[in-house]
Amino acid sequence: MIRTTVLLSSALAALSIVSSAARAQDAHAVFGAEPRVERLSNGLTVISVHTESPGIVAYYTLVRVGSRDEVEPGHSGFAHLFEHMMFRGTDAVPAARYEELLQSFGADNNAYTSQDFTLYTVTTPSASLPQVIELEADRFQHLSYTEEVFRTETGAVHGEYDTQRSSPMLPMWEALSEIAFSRHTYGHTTLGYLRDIEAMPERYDYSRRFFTRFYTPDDCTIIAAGDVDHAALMAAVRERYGSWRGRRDRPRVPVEPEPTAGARRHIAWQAPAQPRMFVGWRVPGFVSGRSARERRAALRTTAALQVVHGLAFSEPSPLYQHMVVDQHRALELGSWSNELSLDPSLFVAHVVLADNETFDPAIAEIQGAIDELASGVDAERLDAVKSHARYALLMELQTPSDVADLIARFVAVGSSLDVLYEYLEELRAVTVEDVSRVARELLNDRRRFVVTLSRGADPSADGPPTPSAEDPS
Amino acid sequence: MRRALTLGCAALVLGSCGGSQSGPREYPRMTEDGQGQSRDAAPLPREALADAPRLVTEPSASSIVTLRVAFDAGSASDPAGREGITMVTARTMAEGGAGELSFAELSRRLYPMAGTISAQVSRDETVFIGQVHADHLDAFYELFRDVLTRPRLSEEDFERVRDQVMNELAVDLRSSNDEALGKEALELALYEGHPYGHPAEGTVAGLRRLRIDDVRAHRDQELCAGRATIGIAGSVPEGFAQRMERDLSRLSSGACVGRQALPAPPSHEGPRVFLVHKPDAQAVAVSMGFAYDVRRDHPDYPAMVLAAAWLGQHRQFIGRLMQAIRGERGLNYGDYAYAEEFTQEGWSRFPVTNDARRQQHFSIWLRPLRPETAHFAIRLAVRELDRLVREGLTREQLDHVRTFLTQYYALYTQTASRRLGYAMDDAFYASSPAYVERLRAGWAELTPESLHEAIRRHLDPSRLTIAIVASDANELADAIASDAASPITYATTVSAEVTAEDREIVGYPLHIPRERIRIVPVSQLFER
Repeated sequence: MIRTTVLLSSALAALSIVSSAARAQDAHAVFGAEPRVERLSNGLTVISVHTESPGIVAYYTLVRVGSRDEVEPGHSGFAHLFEHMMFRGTDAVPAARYEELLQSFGADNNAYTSQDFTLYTVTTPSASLPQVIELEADRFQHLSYTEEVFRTETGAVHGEYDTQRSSPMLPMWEALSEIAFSRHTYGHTTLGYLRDIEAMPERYDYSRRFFTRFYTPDDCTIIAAGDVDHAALMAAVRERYGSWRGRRDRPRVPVEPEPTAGARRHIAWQAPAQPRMFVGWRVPGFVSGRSARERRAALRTTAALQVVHGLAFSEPSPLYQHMVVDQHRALELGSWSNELSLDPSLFVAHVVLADNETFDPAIAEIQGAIDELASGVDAERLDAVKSHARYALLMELQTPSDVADLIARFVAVGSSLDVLYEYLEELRAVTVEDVSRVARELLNDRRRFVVTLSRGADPSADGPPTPSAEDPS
Repeated sequence: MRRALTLGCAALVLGSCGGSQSGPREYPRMTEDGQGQSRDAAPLPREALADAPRLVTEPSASSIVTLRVAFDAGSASDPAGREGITMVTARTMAEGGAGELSFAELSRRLYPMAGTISAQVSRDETVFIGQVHADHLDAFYELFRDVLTRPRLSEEDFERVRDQVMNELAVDLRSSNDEALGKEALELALYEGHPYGHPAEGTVAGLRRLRIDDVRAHRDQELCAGRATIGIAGSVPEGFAQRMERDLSRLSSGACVGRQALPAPPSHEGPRVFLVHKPDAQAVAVSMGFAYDVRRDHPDYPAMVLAAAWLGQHRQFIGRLMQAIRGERGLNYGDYAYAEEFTQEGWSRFPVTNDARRQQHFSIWLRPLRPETAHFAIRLAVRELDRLVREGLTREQLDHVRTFLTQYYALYTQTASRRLGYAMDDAFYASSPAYVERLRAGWAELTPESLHEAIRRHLDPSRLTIAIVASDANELADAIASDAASPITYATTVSAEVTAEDREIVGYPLHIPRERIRIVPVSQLFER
């Protein structure tokens, strides 16, 4: 509770730093128009942005609940399960009718869940927007389903887990989360453990409580992008959501201590597989700090880390060129850039090695590339990465859905849309020193967590695989 | 212009362009035993080459420019014994050096623009896709052009790409992605002995046999101006299209030949099962379908798209299969049907464009099932298909699907890049008016009777091939062959309607005797 209040107040304080002119300029550069933001008295936030997309609108509902909120043991994957339940209807509009109506509009209707948020994504011809608003308002306030329906839907969640069971990436993510987080809920994946998924059918009552705890107006943001009229949108939203009441529950998410030593775990895979690994470093959350100054410093850190993704792991990077192109020692090398998180999380690189390659030299080489950044960066390369980031962002935004999704991702971890402009400002301002600092202070072996996978035992290991960190559930 | 001419001449030295001067190239003789499978005794005729590339434009004010150059050559053009060569050739071009630049240098030039150059290879098409912000079009275009007209095709780039493709085929597809494996298994079964009968990545034996000279010769023969369609979308300066046409027109060689005709897809009597035995599979992947003669230029294509959507529009809840298997029973994550080959674009719900084919198939995809429910779910899907063919749709059902599709397909063409892709597909099939417009007009004309007639003309469950990836292959094969009951239990009580329906499904006969069930170990899949 306290933590979020702090975040919110520092967000408000930071607002004054970004001048409105600069914000408008950034907004136009990114979206082609300045988004409009309003908040209803019940806490529901509405963001709209008109983009060139005749006849089509993305109507997204962001709920700031994700696997981060799964603090109770044995409940991993529950935020995701609940995302499924949101399609199971209300007394006024049963599930079949809800689908039938959305289908009659020709809407694309889906949702996804992450560590920090759940996003409901309707993209529809704009003529149907008033009806979509009515339907969405109804299900967010009056969701209703029986235990039988709940149990059936848990089968679909199990089925979703089954879609990924043949991939070595699933156990690798599970292992990386476990060894990097001994207390925090980032220690389990958003999909959840299989054992918890298998126990889901028995958790009907918990699911009902989940709805009242987290699906509240102060926890939600509506984002409408595309062919949308802000005034008409607001009138409809006020009418349909105005009487919605509720305050979000604030589960006590355990604080993860700063790492003092990294960890490593090997997965002996039964099926044929190239040797592959995740190398993750613990890094701060997207927004942290109490004062505006601290908050800006945190955004600068995130921006500098984003630059490191490009400098160290992009195709033109010396590491990629050496390991993949020149020496053919790796078949794939990359990193998960653009991953923003509320709490301290991981900066993750992934590598697929060629046959007969071992892990230790590859880890050393990756760490070596980071250490090199710690000792200095060529200014021209830094400019190239910044230019890439700018144009990649512009090219990412081609449809109303792209725009709504980007806004949702920033609002989810940054409290308000202004954080996007602040972040872009910090990205432009990243210096060689910033890059060196984050490489030195954050991307070092004391904060490094490695998961390796190959067919059979770890060829690099002298003894048995590293024991696992404390199982979070 | 001068620069372009100079570059064009330089390319001659590399042996990658230059009309009759470079002379026809031939594939080097195979040096290993086992010359690959011979598909046909008599060679099939080749089409005539066009005089120049076709041009398709999709003008828009968008500041994101998309360039697509599609060649009428895909993995079906792989010569027997060198399966995978088209994929390796295209990717060595897109992911290698070009002109004076090594791959490293080219990557460094592209990076600040966030420009992308990629190659997509399907059965009948290879498309190079370039995308860049209009701010950088000039600098980007020079790189894109060189990738197409002056690729280095160096030994180093080739070896790296071939190893990556080999890994994608022999490791990733075989062991790490059962959903994709099931779909490829279906195509393998449908098109055995046919040029479509191997994945675009090729075969293990074909890839092993490849040499850089093969790749260079293959490019000269297949990826040339007479088989190209140029596509441009977004805001480009005046004269840009003509410049691109001029540059690409130089992409010719005496070795260039027209596309070879396809044989008919293999036929078979009665439904059958192609079972991939994968000992470590934790779930069961299922794809089923049959080859048929409905392509986008067929008058019944809109009816088939509607029939497929009735069964299951990709990643939407509208379909009967989705409702019955996931919604009512919770047996898996999703169940869909397709009127033509469908490859999802990125994380979207829509198919990639520039994946046109001369022959098509109708298919149903059941996402992974728990082993104890697989036989039941297959029965359910076949029963739904049978019902569709037997009964067609009521007026109300038809209207519901038609209303959905008529609006929903607006989302298929949201970006200039996708509109361009569909316009190029229309050029491939020589069909007009534009794709979505044509579909809507076709749907508008349908009556329950005309739809039912079209369904009965084209959807024939007796020709069904069911591809399955499972760990207990023998057990499943015996169960299917015996048509033994496949009882089902749920984590909860289900409705009376579902219970009543289940009574029919658990014993629904598939009529597939053991001799029409083939079990193939996963280790042998894609081997040769």
